[in-house]
Amino acid sequence: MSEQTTTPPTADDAEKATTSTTTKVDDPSTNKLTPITVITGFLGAGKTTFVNYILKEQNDWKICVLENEFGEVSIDDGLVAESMDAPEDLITMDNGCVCCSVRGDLVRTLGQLVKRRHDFDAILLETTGLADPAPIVYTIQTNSKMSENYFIDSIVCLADAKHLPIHLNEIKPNPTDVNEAYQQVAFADKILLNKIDLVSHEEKLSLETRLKNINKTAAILECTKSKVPLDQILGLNSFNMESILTVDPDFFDTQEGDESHHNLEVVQSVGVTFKGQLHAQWFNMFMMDLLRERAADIYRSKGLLSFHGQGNIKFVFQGVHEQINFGPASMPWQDNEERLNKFVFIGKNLNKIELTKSLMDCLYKEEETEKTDNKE
Amino acid sequence: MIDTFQYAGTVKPGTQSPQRKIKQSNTKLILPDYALDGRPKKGSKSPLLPWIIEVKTPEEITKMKASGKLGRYILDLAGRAVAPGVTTDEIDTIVHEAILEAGAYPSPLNYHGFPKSCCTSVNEVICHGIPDDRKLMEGDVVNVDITVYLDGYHGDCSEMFVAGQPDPQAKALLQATYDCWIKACMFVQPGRDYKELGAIMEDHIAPLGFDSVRNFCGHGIGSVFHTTPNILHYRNNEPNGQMATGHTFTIEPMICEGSAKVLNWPDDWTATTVDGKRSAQFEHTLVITPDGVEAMTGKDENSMLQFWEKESQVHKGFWLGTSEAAKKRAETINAAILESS
Repeated sequence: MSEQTTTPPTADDAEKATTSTTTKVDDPSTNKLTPITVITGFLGAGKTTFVNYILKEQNDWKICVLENEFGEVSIDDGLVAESMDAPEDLITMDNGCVCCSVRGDLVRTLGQLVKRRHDFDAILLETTGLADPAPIVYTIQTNSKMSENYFIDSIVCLADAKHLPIHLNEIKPNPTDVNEAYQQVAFADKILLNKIDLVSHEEKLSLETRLKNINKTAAILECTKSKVPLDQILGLNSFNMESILTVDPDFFDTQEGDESHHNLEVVQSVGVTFKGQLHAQWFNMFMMDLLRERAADIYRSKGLLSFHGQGNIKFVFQGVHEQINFGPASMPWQDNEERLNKFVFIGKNLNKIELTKSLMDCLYKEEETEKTDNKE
Repeated sequence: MIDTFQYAGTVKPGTQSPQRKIKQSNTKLILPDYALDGRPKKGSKSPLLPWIIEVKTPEEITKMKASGKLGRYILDLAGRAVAPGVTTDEIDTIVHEAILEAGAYPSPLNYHGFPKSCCTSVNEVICHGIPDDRKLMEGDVVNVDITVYLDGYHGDCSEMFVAGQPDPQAKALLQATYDCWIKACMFVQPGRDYKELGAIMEDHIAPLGFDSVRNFCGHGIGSVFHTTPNILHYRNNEPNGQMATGHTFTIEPMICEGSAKVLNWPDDWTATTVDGKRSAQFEHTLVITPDGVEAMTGKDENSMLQFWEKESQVHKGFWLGTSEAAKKRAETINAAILESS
């Protein structure tokens, strides 16, 4: 059975552009998918303390902790199940939490967990040594068994406020490589600055400024002894397409003439904003090429878009490397709302001026439409 | 009631038999999510960007090869039934019962409310013809489009059949459609762009005076019936993604003797040409391998050898793919069937 095309067949056809399937995005919580919070973090940041806190000290959340088998998090032997193969081996704590070691195959473990997942409020996936969460995100979003049961709630980076600056300054053997600390900060939706009691006020402010320069969109939460109010890191739904809507509008202020970057970080957040309606096909072509060529350099991206021919539908996207989640926002453009396109890119070697120009080239232009249809 | 619709040609809607319901007692049958209420749920949650294409795992590809094989078996069965005097509803009955017998579900049935288990598109019908009580006549060319849903995966294929003997113009149309389709299939390999397929097909048929339909496209397929990539069958520059190992999709050009513009019937499904001239189509479900492409719905030693396969200047005999494995299989089968024909 053939599929109907969604782009207009010919330039001279009187047909208007039909909208692509713009089904309302389902809120994961209404579909009762189990949220997965991915915890990244540096050695010594306090993950052992954090996991133990979850399993033994708190009583508000029933959490299933999945640990990387090579992780440095040491839980009392008796509490960690080897795998999900034998459900009777899963030791349930007094507070309803369990802990299981993932031996290589995350999909298999999560698959086995499906029948028990309603016992838990959330899953905490601890990923020692993994700087780039992209493979996990890809699997959970594209594998149908995964996406029917789970969704990524957020990527949280647990960092040691005292030592993070040192880690960020570390130069890799190959100087063009980005070190793990940068990557973890760049990918995060939320950064937990632990051991905050060990740094001075000035050191803290300086570090937070630095982190904002790298990742403008991540929220920073301070804590001591890994004690974090769990409702501030779980059940946030921050890894969603609409997250760009909460980015500080001031970030997008273009300061003309301010070419000199105070920002000397290897990985940076670049914001682009401009008015108008985008040409869907040109935008798609640009993004496809950009993400294909620069996938390794672009860690996270977010966008808010207005397209010509799509009425008042507001489009949003967010992505990790080249995997993009895209769709209509839950609220359309209001009648008196200015159609402001916004983009945030977190990555390296990003040229704000070039990106702005290339994106603005995708704005809809009436008289050029036919010309480009014939262009090869 | 008097039908005032201006039909383009001689094919008009007949009477449909009642829609078949799958018996509830058949509990082993895995149903697609739209089987009961007609509305697909999977794949419609978060619209993909056109270049984002699912890569199937080896296990999934194994399952798709199974559904592809079944689809071919059913299509061959349907094709053997085509003859003057046979109604398209009789073909649908054969198809429906054989699919259920094999433990699968006929994917078109109730897909967005489609009333039957396969599509039968006669002469000027471009696609999505609904089986009814119209009797096939001598010289009719008909496309039978089969999709089966076996063990959670769809397999989609279609082929042209002639009731009786084709006239010379029909032969030319079918040959051109087949040749442009195989040319496009042969182009598929990792690293190439999907958008290039359209020009290959258009460039083959246009010099022969034919036109390619723009309103319908080939599609990605798997646990979902229709998904990315979109395969346009005409010259285009759409950012529809890059071919990679593990992609599964269809190529299904609709080629017309006259204008490729579409006239939609009031039944909201049947699409015909606007000038009443005929249209032809072929379809495979393909999988991209590291060394090329394979037709998961390819023919086997039990399939009919058609005149366009015998006489093609693009590829003689059955085309099964460009991978080493597919080429070997084709060599063996073709040696036997081309000899005996």
